[in-house]
Amino acid sequence: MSVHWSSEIMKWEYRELQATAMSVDYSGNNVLLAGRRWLAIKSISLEDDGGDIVKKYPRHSKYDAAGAEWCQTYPGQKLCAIASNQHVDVYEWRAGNDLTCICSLRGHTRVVSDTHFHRQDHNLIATCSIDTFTYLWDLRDTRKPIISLSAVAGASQVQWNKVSTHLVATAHDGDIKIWDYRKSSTPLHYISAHLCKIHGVDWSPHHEYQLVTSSHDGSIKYFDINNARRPENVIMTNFPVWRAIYTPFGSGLLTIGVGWGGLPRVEQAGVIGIWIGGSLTHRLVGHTDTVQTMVWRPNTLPSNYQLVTWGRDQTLRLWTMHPSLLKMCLHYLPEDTDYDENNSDSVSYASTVSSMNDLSLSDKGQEIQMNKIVHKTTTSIDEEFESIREMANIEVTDMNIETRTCQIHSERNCYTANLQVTFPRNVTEQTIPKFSWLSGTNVDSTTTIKILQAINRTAYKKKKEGHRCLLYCLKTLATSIDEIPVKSSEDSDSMKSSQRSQSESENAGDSCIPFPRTCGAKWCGVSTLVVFNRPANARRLSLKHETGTPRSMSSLSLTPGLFGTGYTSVSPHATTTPSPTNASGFPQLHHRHASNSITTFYFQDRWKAQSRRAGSMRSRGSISTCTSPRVVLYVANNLFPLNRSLAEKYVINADNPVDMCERNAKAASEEGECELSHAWGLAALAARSLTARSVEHLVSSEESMGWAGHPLCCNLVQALISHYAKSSDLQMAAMLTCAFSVFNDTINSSSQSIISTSSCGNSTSPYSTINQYSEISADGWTLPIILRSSSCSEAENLNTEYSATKSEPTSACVIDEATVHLYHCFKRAYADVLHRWQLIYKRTEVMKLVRGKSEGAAAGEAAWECARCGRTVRSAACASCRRLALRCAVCGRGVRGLAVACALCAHAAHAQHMLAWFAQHDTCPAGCGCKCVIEGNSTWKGTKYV
Amino acid sequence: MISVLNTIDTGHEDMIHDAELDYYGLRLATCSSDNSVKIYDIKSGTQTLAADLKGHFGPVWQVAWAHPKFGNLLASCSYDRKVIIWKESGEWTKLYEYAGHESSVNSVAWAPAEYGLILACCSSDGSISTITYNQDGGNWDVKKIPGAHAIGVNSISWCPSLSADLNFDPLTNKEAPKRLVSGGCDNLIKIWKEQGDQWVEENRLEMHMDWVRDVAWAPSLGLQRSMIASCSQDKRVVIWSSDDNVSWTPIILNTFDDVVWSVSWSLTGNILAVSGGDNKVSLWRENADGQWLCISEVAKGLGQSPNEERSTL
Repeated sequence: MSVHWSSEIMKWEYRELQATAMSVDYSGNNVLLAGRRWLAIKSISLEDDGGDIVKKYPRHSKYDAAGAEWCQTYPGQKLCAIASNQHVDVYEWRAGNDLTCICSLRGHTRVVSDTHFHRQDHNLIATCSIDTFTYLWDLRDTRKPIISLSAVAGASQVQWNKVSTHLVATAHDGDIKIWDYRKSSTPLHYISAHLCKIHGVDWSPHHEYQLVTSSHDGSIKYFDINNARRPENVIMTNFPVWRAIYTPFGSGLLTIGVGWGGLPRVEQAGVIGIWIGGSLTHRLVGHTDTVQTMVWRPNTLPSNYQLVTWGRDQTLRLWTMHPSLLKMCLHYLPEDTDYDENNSDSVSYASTVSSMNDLSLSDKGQEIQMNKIVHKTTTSIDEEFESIREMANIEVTDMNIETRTCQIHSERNCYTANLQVTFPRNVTEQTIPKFSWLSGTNVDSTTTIKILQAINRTAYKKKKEGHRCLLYCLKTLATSIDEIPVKSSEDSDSMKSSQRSQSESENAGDSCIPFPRTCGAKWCGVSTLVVFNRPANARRLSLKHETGTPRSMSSLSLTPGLFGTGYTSVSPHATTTPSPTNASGFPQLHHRHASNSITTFYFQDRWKAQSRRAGSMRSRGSISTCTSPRVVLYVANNLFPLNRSLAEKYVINADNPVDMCERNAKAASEEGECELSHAWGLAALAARSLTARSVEHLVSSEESMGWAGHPLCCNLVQALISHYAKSSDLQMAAMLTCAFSVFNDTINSSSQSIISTSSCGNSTSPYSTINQYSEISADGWTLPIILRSSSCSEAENLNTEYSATKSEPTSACVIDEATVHLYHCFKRAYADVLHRWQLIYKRTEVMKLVRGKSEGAAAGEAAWECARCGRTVRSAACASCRRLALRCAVCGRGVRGLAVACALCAHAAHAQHMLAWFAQHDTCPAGCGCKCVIEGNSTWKGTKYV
Repeated sequence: MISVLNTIDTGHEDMIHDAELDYYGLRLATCSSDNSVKIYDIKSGTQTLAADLKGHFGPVWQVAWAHPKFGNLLASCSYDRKVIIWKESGEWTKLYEYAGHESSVNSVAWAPAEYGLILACCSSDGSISTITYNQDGGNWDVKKIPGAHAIGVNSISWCPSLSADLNFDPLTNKEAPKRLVSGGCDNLIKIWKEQGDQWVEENRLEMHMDWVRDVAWAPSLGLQRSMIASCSQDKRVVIWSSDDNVSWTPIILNTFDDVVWSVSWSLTGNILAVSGGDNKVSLWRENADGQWLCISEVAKGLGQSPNEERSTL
């Protein structure tokens, strides 16, 4: 439960000013209040009794001051900017009493919503407006902005990074854009932070890469801009949050609400909440109406932070932070025992005031004193920087005496720490440099705060002893990193991988994984279409900024965020989708969330209606049938000219093409395929002429054009085949090629085609003698063809029948090798279809007609040496010695019938003898020791299938 | 033109991401976000659950059946970075598990059976793996193409062995090289050729303007033309055709209303099924003039009521 107390130490009321904006200057002593009619500068000094010291400057404007801001740099501390309607007026507070407008920034076309001076360069100011533009102005030339950052939605906030000098954040409705102003065309990062308007953005004072956003949806989100897909942390409140700002100490957060929702307006209004570790710890009560502005009073002592607030109740209040609060925020406080001269702890505010007074001397004197201090400290800063040059394990990446900063890079134990050290300008004895984390640091936030605490402690100690502190601070940094509890290498590995998974899987990982497909169609089998898709009542949750379906999985993890605002029941850890890069798989619980998010992406709009309509028991059933995913199989037989029953009826008989064609014509007409029937009829005619030709070949010179040359023979068949192939009628094309096995005899046709081309010039008859063939075989052209013919496993016994095939060359068709190859492809494809139809015998018949492509050896051809003459024998008996070539390893006799050979040791035997032998033994009967059954088995498996 | 053969209530607890029938069309494998793979026996209008395979620890993206000559093998790939090859020998068991990827494995594809038992898979870690079963050793050899696509590989498809022979030279009679096509988050389609024991990038096809979600190499009858269909987040489907598997010419099939997720060729390679984020499936066929026409649109509201499903589409 949150404690609340009033720790305000000062309160002034200014009803007459009607101020709508407030700002505190660089010194922390002057407060600017801006209203429609007046600009007032109030000096806050605790020694003054009342609100007397107010310098009022009349302002004649129709518009309220939308914002007022002091420049927070030393050289520009006299500058302040007042946003009013479409322009921004920049005033200079000269000599402490004369407020003059030095320029007016005119460029925006609609109301300016926010202004922010650059944190280092007082000439730079950023302004943003609901006209969607954010302008950067150089006050030395204010005619037009130097840089314009363009967005789609109007900008409500602009904030310079507190550590890096180039980064600026702008808020546009529910989104944050992070810009590097040197690259103004596109934002560096784009964060879809909230669903509702973002009221406030604040950069972390300690981390370059962290910011916090507060939104109308009641949530406060912490973001790491380098991993901005999901917030580091989310705080849900039940009221719209107007502002959320980091505490300059430790890890706390201050919020002001607009004040409706859960608590009554009156009660909630004016309460400033202090959040530590995600829970509301304290409330600062005092204001009676909504607080409009709260700022940390600049340049207070680190142990004495003060908050300045201006509320709608027209009061200006000054608050101190109780030391216990600072401690809870893990802020280092100088220990009580270490009292310094100022007794800073016990009488904290008094000391502040006194030191404050030291600083705020008369204006004239301050200038001189400052110069002196600056001069003095530059030497010390040189020393500080010099001291760390030689440090081991620490790399100084950047050092700038002008801006008094240096950047340090350290890598230890797989941790990377990038630290920026800024030395404040007005250094007193107690002022320690400001340490902040830069991008690239992979230590988690709570640890970084702890390390900062340790570093600050060292810095205080050293400063008090009057030493240079930087060297010792960095040593503390190094030891602190070493102390992070990952000592064992295993742990550090897992730590590293989880770190990596944090950055990769969430950053790169999920965003690289394509969005899950929930609808698809696949052709399977011969003509089946498998379709699955989402139930018709599933509707996509409309995502902002995306008209189509998102491309990556990372969009899913945004969905719980979407629900988060509507349904608070969604727990925040539902946002943790599993990362595939997690080291050891992920627990069941987590991935359920992930899958949930896929279904929740397409929420079912009928869900509620159905459950309401039906009874509770039945509704459950109806939901499950309604939402359970289905797969539908469609038959698309008619889309394809493939007919299974026709395939069954078709006859494959390459030896008798006429018969085959005629019977197939009949089968086709029985199936009602008239066109196919006619085609088969045509093919039958062509086949008849083919057989006729082969019988009475070489009769006359007129007929020597042969079957191949006749337009109604070979050409007709080829035309038919190509027609059906083009119209994707694989079945018909393949069957026709089967019918005309002449196309298969590639050896014939191809060798002859070579003969014909080579002999055409001689104008002799191409197919005259065998001598010619032998001549050509000598020149090497036919050599590969011969090799292939011998390796052909399917064709007839070609080895012995060269002359025989030569003797009837005209029966073959002269077609080129590519066409032959194509026809074989048809047959192979059709065989595949038959296989899928489980017509295995038909398939085998087709495959018998397919020329094996260089797989003769692999198909396993038995051949043995003749025991007598040593020649290779492929048949049972040796051709020269006419004896049975193969001897049985069991009985020792010649084998005439079925023989079995071992593929490994090559010992063969009568099949029956072999079976009988291996029923009892497991080694080879020849005594070679080969375990034929066991070892030979795998060899046979290794042969190719097709 | 198309009629419903079967409606399978899968009983998955979450969305289905892929479904495939086996070689004979007798078994259906489905995979889902509920981390499981289910196998159904399909018989004339009825189906029975044959197996419920649980072994993945994340949503399962795709399943693929191997050619039956290798036995009943099913490969599945998942968000949990793993590829599992399941084998049926009485019961379904895990035959091999491949965990060589560092991110979600998005697609698996078996090589043409003529090449042997080879599985290709691709992952969001940007690499492609081919896993070859070595029959001599009984082990699986893995070859990896690292950095195939910059941000991630979304889809992979093999060149069918018949199409591989396109530039088959009858005189040299060299074995045609194996080819793969892959599509990735770099908006590119890449064609890979096996050279020696290495996969080399042969070609990259640039046309899409967003992530390529699916690629499919068309089965070929051996005609002198190879085709690849690709679909993308940019809502377009592109048909790439080539006469030699080397130079490719694109034709935009259509620009759809929503993201296109998958393309699938029919067995004869002449009809393309396209599906996408709009929950619709359409079928496309090339006419004689080389123009692609939508011949049917399947399923605007599939899975609603049985009556509607009965209607022919």
